[in-house]
Amino acid sequence: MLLVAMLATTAFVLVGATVGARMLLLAARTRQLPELYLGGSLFLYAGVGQPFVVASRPLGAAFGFEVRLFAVALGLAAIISSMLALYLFTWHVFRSDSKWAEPFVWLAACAAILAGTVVLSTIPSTPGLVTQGMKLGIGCLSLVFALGMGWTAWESFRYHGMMRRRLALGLADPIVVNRFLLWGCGCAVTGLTALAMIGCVSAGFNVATHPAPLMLTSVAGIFIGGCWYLTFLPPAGYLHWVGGADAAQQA
Amino acid sequence: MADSEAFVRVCEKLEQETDFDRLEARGTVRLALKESGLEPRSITPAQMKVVLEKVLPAELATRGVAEGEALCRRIAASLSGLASEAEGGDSPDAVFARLGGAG
Repeated sequence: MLLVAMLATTAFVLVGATVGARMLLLAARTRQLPELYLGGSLFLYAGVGQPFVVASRPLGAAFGFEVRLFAVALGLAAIISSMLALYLFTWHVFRSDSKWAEPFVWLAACAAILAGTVVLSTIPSTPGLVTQGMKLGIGCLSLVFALGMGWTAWESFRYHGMMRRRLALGLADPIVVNRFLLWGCGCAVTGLTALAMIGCVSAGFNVATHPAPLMLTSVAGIFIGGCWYLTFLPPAGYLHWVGGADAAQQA
Repeated sequence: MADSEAFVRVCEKLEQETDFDRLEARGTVRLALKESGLEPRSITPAQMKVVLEKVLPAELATRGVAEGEALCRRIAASLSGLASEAEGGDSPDAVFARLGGAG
């Protein structure tokens, strides 16, 4: 099970980091904020945050508690920045004219930073020990993460509905319509997985070794990586299947 | 955000050429846009022409407006003078079209 989880995590990290890096390159060309926010979010989460958090324990075992703490701090900073970038993306793309979105984004950022600080300040020097403060901090962080993912999923599904109606009138590209659905599905599963992990931690499971959370994160990681891949790096065959020959050629 | 020029123009024309008051005209066009998956603040003249051709005539018919199709054709012709404001570069569909072509 551990091997499956490691393979799934590696696949997730590779897809997320590749998609994020390619989007950051696009942002460098277009100088537009949405690709900067989303590329930054995916790259920081999959390419920096996850690897550092996963590697913190073996690093700690090899080089001592300070090194472990440093790796966790770096990983948490990347994950919190990635969350903030995702909130900014959703606000900028879907709700730029909304009055409630801006305070909501900054409230989420404050909550995530506070939760991250609680986690960092309560990590014990004994490996394997999970303190109440860590549980609380990770729970809050996961909740902010799930909320952000849920928000962007909701907006994507809502916009997908609108785009389907446009498609019926010949006013939308079927590939772009499908992209909203894929992105929404990936985010919805990410958010639900974060909520399920809160449940696992509350139930007292060790999420790094218990088969239930390992199985959950493996399946979810593969599904989410697949959604990101098809949304942002779709192969020609998939584009042809979704949009037909003409749309695939244009894309 | 303010409503687009195309939306405002169509509502004004509808108000002038039917018995609708301002509220009825705007409400009817809003319903047609909702059915089409479009928004008053971002609709372009080109998109509005499609709505006028394919959706609004039926909305007008249900409200007892005679010769809705001919009326919509006249309104569509009046949109030709509007600058073809491209839907905002940062509209969600423009963003997602760009993001899929990353790399």
